[in-house]
Amino acid sequence: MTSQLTVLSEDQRDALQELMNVAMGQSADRLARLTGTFVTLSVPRVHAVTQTLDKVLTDLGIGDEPQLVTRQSFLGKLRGEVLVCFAVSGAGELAELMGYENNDVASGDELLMDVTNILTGACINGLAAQIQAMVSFGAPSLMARAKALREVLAEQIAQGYQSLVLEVRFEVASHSFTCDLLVCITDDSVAVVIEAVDKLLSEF
Amino acid sequence: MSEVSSPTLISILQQINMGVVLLDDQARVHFWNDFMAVNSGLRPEQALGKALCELFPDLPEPWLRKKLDSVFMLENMAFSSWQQRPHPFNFAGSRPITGQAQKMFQNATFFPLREADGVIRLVCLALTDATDIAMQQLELAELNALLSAEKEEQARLIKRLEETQAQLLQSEKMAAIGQLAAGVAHEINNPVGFVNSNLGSLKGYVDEVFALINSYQALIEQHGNEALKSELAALNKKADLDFLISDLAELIRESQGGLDRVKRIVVDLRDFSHVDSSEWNMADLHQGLDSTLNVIWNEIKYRADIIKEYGDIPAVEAIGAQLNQVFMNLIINASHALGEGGHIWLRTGQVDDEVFVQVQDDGCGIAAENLGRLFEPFFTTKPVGKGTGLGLSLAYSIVNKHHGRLEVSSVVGQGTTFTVWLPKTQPKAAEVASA
Ligand SMILES: Nc1ncnc2c1ncn2[C@@H]1O[C@H](COP(=O)(O)OP(=O)(O)O)[C@@H](O)[C@H]1O
Ligand SMILES: [Mg+2]
Repeated sequence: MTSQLTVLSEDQRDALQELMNVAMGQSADRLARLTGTFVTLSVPRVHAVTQTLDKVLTDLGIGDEPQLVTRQSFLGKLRGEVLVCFAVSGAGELAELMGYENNDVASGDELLMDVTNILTGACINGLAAQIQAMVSFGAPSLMARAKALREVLAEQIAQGYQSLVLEVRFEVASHSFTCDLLVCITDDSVAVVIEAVDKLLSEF
Repeated sequence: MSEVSSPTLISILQQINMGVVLLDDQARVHFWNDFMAVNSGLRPEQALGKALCELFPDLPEPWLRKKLDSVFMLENMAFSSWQQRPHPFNFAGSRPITGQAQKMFQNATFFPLREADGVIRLVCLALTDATDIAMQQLELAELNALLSAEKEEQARLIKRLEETQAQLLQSEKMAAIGQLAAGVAHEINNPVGFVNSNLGSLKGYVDEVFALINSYQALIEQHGNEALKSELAALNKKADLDFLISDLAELIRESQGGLDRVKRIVVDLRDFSHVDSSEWNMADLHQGLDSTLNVIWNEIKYRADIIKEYGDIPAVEAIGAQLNQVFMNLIINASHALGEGGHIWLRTGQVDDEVFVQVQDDGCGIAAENLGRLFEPFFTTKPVGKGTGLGLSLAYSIVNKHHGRLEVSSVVGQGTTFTVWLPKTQPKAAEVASA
C-alpha cells in the first residue's frame, strides 16, 4: 500500500501548514476569551511519520523526558488522536483559570482532562472547519504518568503505523505554562486533509 | 419512510435511560427528562427555570461555569468522567441490592445545541450511569493492588530464603571445619606436649652438660698442667666449643619459639572448635577489653598507640571469655595491619537496643576482593607461620552465637574498622526456635 503521506509534496505541506495556522489563530483567540488571559498556540509543525516514530520524536526533541501524557480521540471523516504532553507536575498553574480550587489535589487529573479537551477541540474544530468535515470527540483520558513519550508510544502504537503528525505548542505566558500537542491523523483520513489542501492550492 | 414527529422525539428524550438536561448560559434548566427526575426526586416543574447549582448545592459552581463557558465559547464538547469526578450528581447507587456502591458513578458530556439559525443558545448535558463499569474497574484495581502486594511479599520471601540458605551453608561449613579442627588440634596436642616437655628437659640437661664442661676446664686450669692445658685448648678449638655452646642455646630457643607457635595454633584451633564453652553472664565489655589488652600488650605495645573512646554502655548478656577472644583477634589483626606509628581506636557505645564495640586502625586496609572472604576459615594474607586465617572466622561464629553482627569497612591505604554489634539480652530460646 502506498501511503498518502509519502506523496505529500512540498507545496501541499506548506498549504497544510497555512491551513493549520488559520485554524490555530482562531482557536487561540477563543481560548483567550474563555480564560481571560493571553494565550499562544505556536505555528504548527507538520511531520509525516513515514520513518520510524523514534526519529520524529528526536526531531521534536520531546521524547525522552518523563512526562504526563493524556489523549483524546476525534472521529469522523477526520480521524485520529491528540496526545497532550504535560510536565510531570501537571497543569496546576491553570487551576484557577479553569475554575478549580487551587489547592484541590484530587481535581488535578480532572483539570488535565479539561485542558486536553479544550486544546483538542481548539485544534481539531479549527482544522475540521477549514476542511469542512464533521467531527465528534471521545472523552479524554490519561495515557501515562511520569513516563518518557518514546516509551509510551513504543508500548501503544503498532510498529510501522503511519500517520500525519502536527506538533503544536500551547503557552500561557502569564502563568508560565506550556504543553505540547501531537495531533496524529490516521493515514486513511489524511486523504481528506490533502483534498482540502489541494482545493486551497487551486484557489491561489 | 415517514419522518419521526417532534412529539415522538421529545418522548424519546424524556424516556431514554440516561440523563438529558438542557442548560442556558446561566446554567438554568430548560429541559429535564425522566432519568433526572427519577434519580433526583425533582419533578420537571420543580426543576425547570431553576439554576442547576441551586437544585444541587453540592455541584461546584465554578466548575460547572467553566464547563458551560467552554462549550459556549469554543462551540466544543466538554466531558466529565467518573474516574476524576465519580458523582457529580448525588444520585443513589444503581445497584441497590448487589452493589457495594452507595452512589451512582456518572459520566457526563456537555455539547452545544446549534439551532436552525446557527446560534447556540443551549447546552445539552448528557449523563450516563457508569456504576457497572466503575465497580468492575475498582474491583480490578483492588485485585491488582492485592496481586502486586502478594508478588512483593513473595519476592521478599524468596530473598530471605536465599539469605537463609547462604547462612546455612556458611554455618555448615563452619561446623565441618570445626570438627576437623578439633580432631587436628587433639592429634597435634599430644606430640607437641611431649616434644615441648622433652625440649624443656633437654635444655636443662644441656645447661648442666655445659656447666660440667666449664667445671672440667676450671679444674684443669687450677692444676696448671701446661701440656694438658694446651691439648685441651687444641681440642676446644677443633670442636669449636664456643660456637657449639652459643649455637646450641640458640637452637633450643628457636625450637621452643617454634613450638610456642604450634601451641598457639593449636589453641586457636581448639577455641575455634569449642565455641560452646563457658557460661552466659552479664558481661562488662570494658573490663573484657582491658583484660584482653593486658594479655596481648607485649605483642602490640611497640607497634600501636591505643586510643580508648569508651561510651556509656550497659552490661550485656554474653559468654565473656568468648567475647574476649573476639576482641583479641580484632586488636591483633589491627596491630598486624599497622606500619610505623599506627593507631588503634577502641570505641564502645549503644544504638537503640544494641551495644557495639569498634576496633579501628589506620593500617594498610583490606583489598575489595578480600572483603568477602575475611570470615572464611583459613583465609589469610599473612606469611606462613604468622597467620592461621582462623581469627576472624572464630570471631564471626562467636558473634553469631551471641545473636550479634560483625561488620567491617575498609579503605585500602587508610585503615579498617571492625564493629561488633551485640544485643543487650539474648532472645529467649522459644523465640529463637520460631525465628
Ligand atoms: N585490621 C585489619 N587490617 C587489614 N587486614 C586485616 C585486618 N583484619 C584482618 N585482616 C585480613 O584478614 C585476614 C584474615 O584474618 P584472620 O582471620 O584474623 O586470620 P590471620 O590474622 O591469621 O591472617 C588477614 O590475613 C588479613 O589479610
Ligand atoms: Mg588474625
